[in-house]
Amino acid sequence: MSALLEASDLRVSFGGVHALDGFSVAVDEGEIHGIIGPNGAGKTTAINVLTGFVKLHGGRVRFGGHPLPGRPHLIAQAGIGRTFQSSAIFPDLTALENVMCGGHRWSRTGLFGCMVRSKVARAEEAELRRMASVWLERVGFQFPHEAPVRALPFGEHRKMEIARALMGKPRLLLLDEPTAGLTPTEVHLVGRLLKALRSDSAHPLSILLVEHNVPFIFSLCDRVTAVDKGATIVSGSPAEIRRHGGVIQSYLGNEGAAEPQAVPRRGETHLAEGTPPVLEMRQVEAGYGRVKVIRGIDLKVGAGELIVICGRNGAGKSTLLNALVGQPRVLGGQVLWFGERIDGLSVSQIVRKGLALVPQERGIISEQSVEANLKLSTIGLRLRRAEYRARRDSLMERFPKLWERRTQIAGTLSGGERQMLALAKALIRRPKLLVLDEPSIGLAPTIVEALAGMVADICRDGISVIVAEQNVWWVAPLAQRAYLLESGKFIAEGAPEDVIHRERILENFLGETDTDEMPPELGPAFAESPGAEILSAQRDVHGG
Amino acid sequence: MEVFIGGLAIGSIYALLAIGVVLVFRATGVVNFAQGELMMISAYAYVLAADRTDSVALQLLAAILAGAIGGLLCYVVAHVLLPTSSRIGQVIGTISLLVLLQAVARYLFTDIPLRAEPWLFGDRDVEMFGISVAANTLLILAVTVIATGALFYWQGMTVYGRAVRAVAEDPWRAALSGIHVASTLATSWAVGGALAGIAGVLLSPVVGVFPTMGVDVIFPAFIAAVLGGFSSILGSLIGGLALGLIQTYAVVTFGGTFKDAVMFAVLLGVLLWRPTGLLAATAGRRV
Amino acid sequence: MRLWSRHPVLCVIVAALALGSLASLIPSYRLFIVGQLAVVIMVTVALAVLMGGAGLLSLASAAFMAVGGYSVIIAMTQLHLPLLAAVPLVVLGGAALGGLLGFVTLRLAGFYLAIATIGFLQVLLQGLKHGGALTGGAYGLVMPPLELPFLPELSVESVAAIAVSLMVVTVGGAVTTMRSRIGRAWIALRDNEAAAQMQGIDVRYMKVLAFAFTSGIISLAGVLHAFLLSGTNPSTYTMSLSIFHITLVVVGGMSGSILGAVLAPLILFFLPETFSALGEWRDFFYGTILLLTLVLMPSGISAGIRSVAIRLAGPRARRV
Ligand SMILES: Nc1ncnc2c1ncn2[C@@H]1O[C@H](COP(=O)(O)OP(=O)(O)OP(=O)(O)O)[C@@H](O)[C@H]1O
Ligand SMILES: [Mg+2]
Repeated sequence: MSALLEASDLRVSFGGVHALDGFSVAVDEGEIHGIIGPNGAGKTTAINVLTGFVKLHGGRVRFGGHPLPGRPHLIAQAGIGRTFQSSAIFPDLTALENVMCGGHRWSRTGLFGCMVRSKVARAEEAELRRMASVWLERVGFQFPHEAPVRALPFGEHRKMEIARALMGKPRLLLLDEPTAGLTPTEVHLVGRLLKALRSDSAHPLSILLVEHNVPFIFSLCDRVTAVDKGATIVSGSPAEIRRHGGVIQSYLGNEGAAEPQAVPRRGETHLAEGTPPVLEMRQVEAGYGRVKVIRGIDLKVGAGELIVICGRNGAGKSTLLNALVGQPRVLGGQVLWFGERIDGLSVSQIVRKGLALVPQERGIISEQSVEANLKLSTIGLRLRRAEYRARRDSLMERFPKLWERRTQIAGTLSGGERQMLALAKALIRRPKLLVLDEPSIGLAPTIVEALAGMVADICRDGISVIVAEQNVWWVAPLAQRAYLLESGKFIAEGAPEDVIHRERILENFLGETDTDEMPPELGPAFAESPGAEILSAQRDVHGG
Repeated sequence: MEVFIGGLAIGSIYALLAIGVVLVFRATGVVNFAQGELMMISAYAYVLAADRTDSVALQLLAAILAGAIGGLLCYVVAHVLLPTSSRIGQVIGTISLLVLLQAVARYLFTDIPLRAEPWLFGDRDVEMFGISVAANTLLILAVTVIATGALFYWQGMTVYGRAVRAVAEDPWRAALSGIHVASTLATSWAVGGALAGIAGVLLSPVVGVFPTMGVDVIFPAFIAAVLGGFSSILGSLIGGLALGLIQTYAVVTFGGTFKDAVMFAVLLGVLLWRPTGLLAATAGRRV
Repeated sequence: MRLWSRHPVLCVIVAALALGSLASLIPSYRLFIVGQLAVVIMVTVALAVLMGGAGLLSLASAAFMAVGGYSVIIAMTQLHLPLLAAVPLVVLGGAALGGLLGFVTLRLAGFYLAIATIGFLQVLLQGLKHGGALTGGAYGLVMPPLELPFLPELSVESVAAIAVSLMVVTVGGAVTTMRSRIGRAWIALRDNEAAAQMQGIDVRYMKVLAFAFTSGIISLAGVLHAFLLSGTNPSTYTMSLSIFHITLVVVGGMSGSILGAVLAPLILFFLPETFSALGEWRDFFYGTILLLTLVLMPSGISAGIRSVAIRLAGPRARRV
């Protein structure tokens, strides 16, 4: 049997950067094929080539035995569907309509038919509607289908995008980091869905997916292709790849084997007597419009402490962190910075006091170069040139990949490179408190390890860190305390292991997994679906 | 040669206005339709000041201050009163200011043009390359070039210029970098208004001062800015000067009636050839 | 609601006839303004589809009104076509020209597109002003007597009533189109072109289609406008007219919703027009209403109404 998709020796360069330099992959009919590789290896570029967004400078692609058509929509019509690394939703349509758009490929009604809503048009519309809601159900979309999607949690966007791609009845589905930002249960769900799709005999589907979630990709894929520096290193079964020396060295690392140590552990509290904590939140409430997304938040952070906030998609983690810098506005309670109130100050004023936030959507200025981004982040610090250089160089030692890209426009960086730049931007200010919102999304395992080491170093220097994460495995061993956020309230607090344990239980209960009984220790706080409140908040803001 | 210099002088006015528009656009993403009206109020401030004082410096100051205050008024309308989430809403906000400022001017001063004294060099001419040129024309050119140079340095070479661009791209991310968003925005509007003030001083002796003097020149200014790429200061200067020349030569060759047609034909040609103007920076975007 | 989604054509026709005959009850001096209001609503609705729906910023609305007005008179006087043949021909011609403009300007986006469409308008205007006998130069053209098979001479009042009916038809067509796969495709390509392409949407075709569709409607509005005024004059079709139309669209709401596009002209055209006794205060009045609506309903009338509706009806309110 010949391969459904065959790409051999692809070459692409942007200016002087060789994004692809001998990339090859072959996907068989009905296969799930994974692509792994370090950040900036060219994975997304490869997908962009396969969908016609990036012009090929060399190499050959055949899909179903034919060359690919030239323009993206023709490729889509030929039967290739995809999702994007940073979610690409249509914010002004409802979730259902977003997914219905996916059916554009095979719906046929013309302008006149649409205008007079002919019989054919009505039948087609009903079919689109029906299929769209079926797909939304199948990907585990948790909100009402008529919900405005603009402010839905990141994870819901991802699921909606997968549903939308499936709606087009593709023969080959390209997924760029589909599980980034999903909770473990959701990841599990997506994995199950993809497996089910593959074996759906009525509609055979092949899948090519890029992922940094190593266990996920190794358990799911029939074959895996590893790439580095734009070239395919090796292609084979998961077992072969796992043992491959080059892959281990360039990408997998020790898979968290060597834990960075030497951060003061729990018990050694830094909330020294007499001096106020770096940050204190007292009964903080915040939200959008009149609706409060987080309520009654109490939190104290001492110097050099590392605190983890976990909780599922839509629990309010991002809202909580963003409220620290005053956007959304704190509606009730107080935020104290070394004992002095900072709620009510503008974002930049708070940042200049020494609180650096790396938001989930990455705070980079995408129209300017990497170097300019760093330079901009030093505004208001009045650094001497030499001092700036010193700081910059020490950061670049941590992120050598970034230094190679210093003149590149930040918007063209790969997902992981952007992430590194966002971190570097926060660190160059030498903040007193560093706040990271889901920093591990989109990072290769080796880089996540490096991140863990870096966070440990930072804390050792007396800088405090707050991390909100769904993939807590890398930071939990380092943290002093963890909090579990659910429906805008802290419902558990204490040693990281305990909190994470409770989170797992909660996850299992809320996700439709095998646990069928509600664990007794979880009180009535979970009676209502977690998304409901945020949703009604959005309705008020955006109009239902 | 006289035609050439005259074209450059008109072009300078366009360029000054265009740079004001571009400056604000770079910082805020808002296309300011009221820029011509800011010029109009500065021109009124200029002639009113000339009635009261003989000091050229004070007159200039009055005009520039009026422009800057007008710019701040635009800032209040576009950023304080209106939400920044809708750029096009902000643009329409500046249109409402255009209407209101014009209505106020018409109410206060009627439609009859006021005469402004030709300033500084009066009617004197200078001999240059064997021809005589009005000294004030040269002055217009010099002022424009100097102002452009200063702004080019400020916007292109300093961190401040980068900050301005960052704010325009995304205020939230800019603020996370430690940039004071509100003051950056307000400064840009005020400087843009001050530029309109200079343009008002230069233009009013030529055409007089009347309520609709702004709308007459704002579209050529927009076109100059578009020719230059709409975010480039140097581009706007070149675009403005080129437009002035094209217009004057069109009048000389085809007569006044086809002036506009020629201008817009050039515009269409350039845009179809280069969809983002002649000197546009190509910002990287990817899927 | 069921009836509307099943048989929109029937509903629209009934509504059109009903409103049209209702309109003819209005005293005739008022009816003229009502007819003009209908024309403005048609243009605003079309632009709401083009700008709010497909995200294409065009200042050529005045140009297409001129195309409609001039070509219908030329078709009737110089080509001697009967009214019922001339109007559809003109609408199709306007759509074709709009499609052509859309095709030529495919590579332009945002403000560049807006400026290019201004260029198109200006060049067209110059052509009309200097078109000699064909376009009547600076004076424009005079409308010949309007004849329909059973109505020997159409009065301005009946033209106004017809305009109202056609306006209802336009609104109906725009609403059904925006809520169909094509409307969704327009919104999709506006929001995220790359993602739209991956749904198999031919972005270029859809943009050209949006231009053609809306230019056809605007040409029809131009025809009615010329009927109402019994002629055309180049000084009507200025850039300020286009800017006025855009203002209406933005005030109505840029979300592709049609409701705002119908209501905005009521506030910003009908109100100042009705209070035209204001004289020199008229501009103040207009500017102030404009600013007030922007401040009070920053995302447009349609969104404003929606949020009020939600407050009244509770969280279960559907999209208006
Ligand atoms: N338009 C562009 N201009 C310049 N360089 C680019 C452009 N697009 C991509 N690159 C570079 O090409 C390289 C490959 O990028 P790509 O996005 O394919 O990486 P990736 O493998 O998807 O990484 P990640 O895992 O971080 O998402 C990167 O180094 C990136 O900076
Ligand atoms: Mg990538």
